[in-house]
Amino acid sequence: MSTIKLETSDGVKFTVKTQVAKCSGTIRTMLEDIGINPQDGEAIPLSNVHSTILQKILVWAEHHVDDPEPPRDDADAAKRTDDICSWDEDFLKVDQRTLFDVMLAANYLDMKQLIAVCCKTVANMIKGKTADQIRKTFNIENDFPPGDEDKIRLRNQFCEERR
Amino acid sequence: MSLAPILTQPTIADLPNEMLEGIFSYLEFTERLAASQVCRHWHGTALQWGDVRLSLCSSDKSIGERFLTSGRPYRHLEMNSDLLAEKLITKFGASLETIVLTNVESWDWLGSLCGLPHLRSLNIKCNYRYDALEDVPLVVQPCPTLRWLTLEEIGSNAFPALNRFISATFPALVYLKVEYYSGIFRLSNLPKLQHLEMIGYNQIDDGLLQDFKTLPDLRTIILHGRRLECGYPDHVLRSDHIRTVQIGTDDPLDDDELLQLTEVFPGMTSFNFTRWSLCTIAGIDAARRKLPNCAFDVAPTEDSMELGSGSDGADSSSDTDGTDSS
Repeated sequence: MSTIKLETSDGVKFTVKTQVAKCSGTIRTMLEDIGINPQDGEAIPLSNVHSTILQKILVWAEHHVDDPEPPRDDADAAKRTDDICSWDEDFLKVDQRTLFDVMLAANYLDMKQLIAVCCKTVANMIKGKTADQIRKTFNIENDFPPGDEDKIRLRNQFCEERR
Repeated sequence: MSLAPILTQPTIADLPNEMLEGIFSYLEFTERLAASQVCRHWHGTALQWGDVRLSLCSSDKSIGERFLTSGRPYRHLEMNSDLLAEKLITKFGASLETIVLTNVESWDWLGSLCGLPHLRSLNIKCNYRYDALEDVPLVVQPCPTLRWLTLEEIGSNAFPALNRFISATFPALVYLKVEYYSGIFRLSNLPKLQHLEMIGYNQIDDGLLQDFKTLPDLRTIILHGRRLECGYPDHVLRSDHIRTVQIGTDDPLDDDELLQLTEVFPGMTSFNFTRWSLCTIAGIDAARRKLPNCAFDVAPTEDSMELGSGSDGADSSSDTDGTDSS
């Protein structure tokens, strides 16, 4: 089975099954279009991904490597967040920093399925909360100018035509 | 694109915009409305171009009637349930995703809304009219797109019929919030239901726990009411698939009840009691020992803080503690 080497931002080298590495659109492009030849033994540099995160992402890719191609994104289809498989649910039971690190890396590596399941997870953390509870959950600062709450509501009127 | 030699410690603010948009795309309109009020950045990202809610509060019918000739495909409608509402729903039916109807006096409304092809969120306020909702319709037609259902100020106690109606009509329901004045709500056969919020008289008993058994995806329960009956039998029926439990009652929660809740919901990862509690520090500690992976958000009584931990709650924690005996 063919393997390739990946090198993370902190200089750690991983030997990975080519098929698993190809879960990443970025790596796929490098191999297929740019013509990086993995046989040379040269590691593909992933300068935006730390080894601890790549390790985690490879676990995910290994598990999902045989997944069928997902159906095309249908804009009209009801977007569900309740269809995260339990393996992914457990996989993403991590602190927020790690979750967002995984998301940034998945974005860099262009892994659409992983991005989707992460986005669903974060969406589930937002669901049913008030603006204040959301701020607390993610430690977001309320940077609306003080006393502006009414103005925000006014500005929201582009989506609320009150008559 | 900077090199990252050490682990970054990103927050949600570090996500690129398209990812944030991706997250928001999984939210309902009302959730995106809340998200838009979090911070300035989210304000510009959470709402989408087509998010226009037609919200008619005026009693002046002529204002609302002007919209009957509007060419805009409204997706969200909020108004009093009257003849005009019926006309507007007919007009915008093809585009409506969210409907909030107030002063609903007949279940016929529910029936007539079921045929809308994109309806995802429905909020019905009944104004506690006792006689309003007695005649729950038989299944009109299933509404497989609906995922959010909020029924507020229900004055009726025709719950068995209502439950049958909900189960048969909204098979894809993910979120259900019910606010009622009296009676005991029962529900079952909602295979997708994740979030259940019940405001009113609540009782955690065999019946409710049986209901939970038929809701395999249920993860979050929020129960608010005057008091919470923890009348469990000796054999405790467990609901181990429930992760988040939030309870708020006028009657305070005590150590025994807290410990019972850990028995009933052994899979809890978050427990929150939002009101005044009689739990002691020792009692909360006992619950924590029982479920070490659960975050308990319960304020201990001031008495137990003055006494220090261990003295007051000893009797209720003795079964797990073993050291304190009476």
